Amino acid sequence: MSTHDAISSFMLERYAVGELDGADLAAVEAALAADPALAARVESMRSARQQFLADEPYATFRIEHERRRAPVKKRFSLWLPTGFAAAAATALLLLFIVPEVDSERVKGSGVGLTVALVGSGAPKALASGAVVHPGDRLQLAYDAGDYRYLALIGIDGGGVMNVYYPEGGEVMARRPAESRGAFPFSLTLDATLGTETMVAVFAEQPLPLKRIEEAVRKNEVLPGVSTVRVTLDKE
Amino acid sequence: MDNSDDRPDLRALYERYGHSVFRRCRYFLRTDDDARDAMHEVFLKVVSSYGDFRGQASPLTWLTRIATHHCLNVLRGRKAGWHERYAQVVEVGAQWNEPGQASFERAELVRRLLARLGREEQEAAIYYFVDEMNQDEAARACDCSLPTLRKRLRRFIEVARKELKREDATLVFGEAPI
Repeated sequence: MSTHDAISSFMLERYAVGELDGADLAAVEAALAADPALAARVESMRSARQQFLADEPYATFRIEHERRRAPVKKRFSLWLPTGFAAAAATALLLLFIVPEVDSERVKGSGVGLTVALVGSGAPKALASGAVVHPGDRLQLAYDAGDYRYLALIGIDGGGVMNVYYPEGGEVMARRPAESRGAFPFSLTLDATLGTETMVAVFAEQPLPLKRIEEAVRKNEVLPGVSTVRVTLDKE
Repeated sequence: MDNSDDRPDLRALYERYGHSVFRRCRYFLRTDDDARDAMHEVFLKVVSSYGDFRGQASPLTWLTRIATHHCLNVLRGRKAGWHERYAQVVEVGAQWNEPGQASFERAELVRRLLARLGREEQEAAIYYFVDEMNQDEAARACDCSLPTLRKRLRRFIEVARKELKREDATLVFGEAPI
């Protein structure tokens, strides 16, 4: 097809992405039926788009999109000894990801927890059971659904439990207006090997963190509370 | 496409139009890395200005326009040096026998001439000669009338002919096809 025929190249592209309707759609379909070369061109456009999405999937795109959208954060929580914290913090690039990206979700509850490996390359969402290594840096994000309060608890390979969010305080944090968001810190894994467990806890009321810790430790189900666990194998 | 008044369905937009945006950025900026970076910036603008889009018929036209504006700004800031222009010429020569040569050459010529054109002529030339929009589509993308579009295209052709003539004085041109 030469430039600026009745069916323009741009119209073909619009057709290929599926945004034509009415007379334009009918005109393009008639032209495609009459011209195999034109049909092959549309097919080529679609194939190129599919290949692009295979190379640059939405999950990867979204993580980077959120990172660019996020404001600079002010605080960090590290699993490193204090001596390393300052140096590591300067190198940290805080990423914001959203739970729709490969998140662990609790069926029917509307809540989710996303863990992504971040660093020099493209961020990579981790499924529960993924292998991580000391020094890896993680960014976590939540989908609180209709719940208004949340907390994030970690248990390392040695069974040591830490409350990562909220930092300080006695009770769960009230979530921001947006039900989805990233926790305002990243985590750098220390040298303790074994199973790392991240537990996001969502509740309708601001429960005491001590009570939440106890429930997480005992795998206890509290009324009005929903939890999401992500386990990682640190090797 | 949207899930509220001012927030686009980003997944739908990306999966449908991401490739088009990337390709547009790749055309201007030459490398995948630069194109990917530009594509992300374009989508940030898409999200922040989604309210401007609502009610328009073609998301592709809208996204193409945002991507074009962004890349032209990047190029203006970059002020490509002689070595880059040289590399472009070499690349054009090296691909002489490739399929789609006519479109490729046309697109390359437009890119080479961008720096010699005003912003409005740049846009018109890109939509018409590179995207191969028809005049109606290009006028919509430029947000101008058809006569204005034609005027801008004629201006581009004038500049292009001078450039080609400079490279090959034996060339003879007919009437501008606009």
